[in-house]
Amino acid sequence: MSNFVKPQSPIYNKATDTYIYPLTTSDQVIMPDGTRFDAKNIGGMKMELLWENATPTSEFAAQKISLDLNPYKFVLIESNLKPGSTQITNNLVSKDDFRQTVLGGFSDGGYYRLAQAYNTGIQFGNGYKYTTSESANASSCVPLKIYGIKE
Amino acid sequence: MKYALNLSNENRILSATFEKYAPSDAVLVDVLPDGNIADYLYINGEYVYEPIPVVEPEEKPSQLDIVEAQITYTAMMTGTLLEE
Repeated sequence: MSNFVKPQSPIYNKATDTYIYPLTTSDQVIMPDGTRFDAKNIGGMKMELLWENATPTSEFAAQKISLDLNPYKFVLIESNLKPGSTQITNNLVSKDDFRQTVLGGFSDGGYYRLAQAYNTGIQFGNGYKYTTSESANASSCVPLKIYGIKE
Repeated sequence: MKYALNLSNENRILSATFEKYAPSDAVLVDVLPDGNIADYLYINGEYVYEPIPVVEPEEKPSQLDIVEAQITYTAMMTGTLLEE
């Protein structure tokens, strides 16, 4: 592994009793234990940037991002908790198991959005925000980048 | 630099990416509208500003409202409604 650096302090999510690890550079991937390494080469696997949001602070309605994911074993979705936030989530999706994944986290409320990967792209659902009740919020968990990972 | 638009069936802009990530059938443009691109439609090569109407959530009655309504209904049905 290259570019190994000391992990940043995680942000504790009291609601879910989990930690969010801020990603400060798009060239690094953060693992669950907080370590991070070069995003382009993961233990012999190759990581390619397949899509980047050109307007990351705009609202993002439910939609499909068309991509050819056939060559990839995994897909990594990087998303922003809310526009301009430094809280980034990364969801690693295995193509052997194309279940829905939940982009989300907690700040001044809970933010989440469902996504599902297919060989033809990724279908994103509506974004939601939860404070005292749930409401649709197209600014929640806007995807920033999509990577494909292959051997 | 060009951008690729992802459009809905109603031509609303759903998202934009850079040309190098665009599918072969993508709509390519040179500039993007300012602000929230989801507020725009892309029709015949032009941006049309048309924000999605904000739907205010219906205000739910409070517990006190419900109790008051029940009291009033009971009073009306039993002929015991107080006159102001």
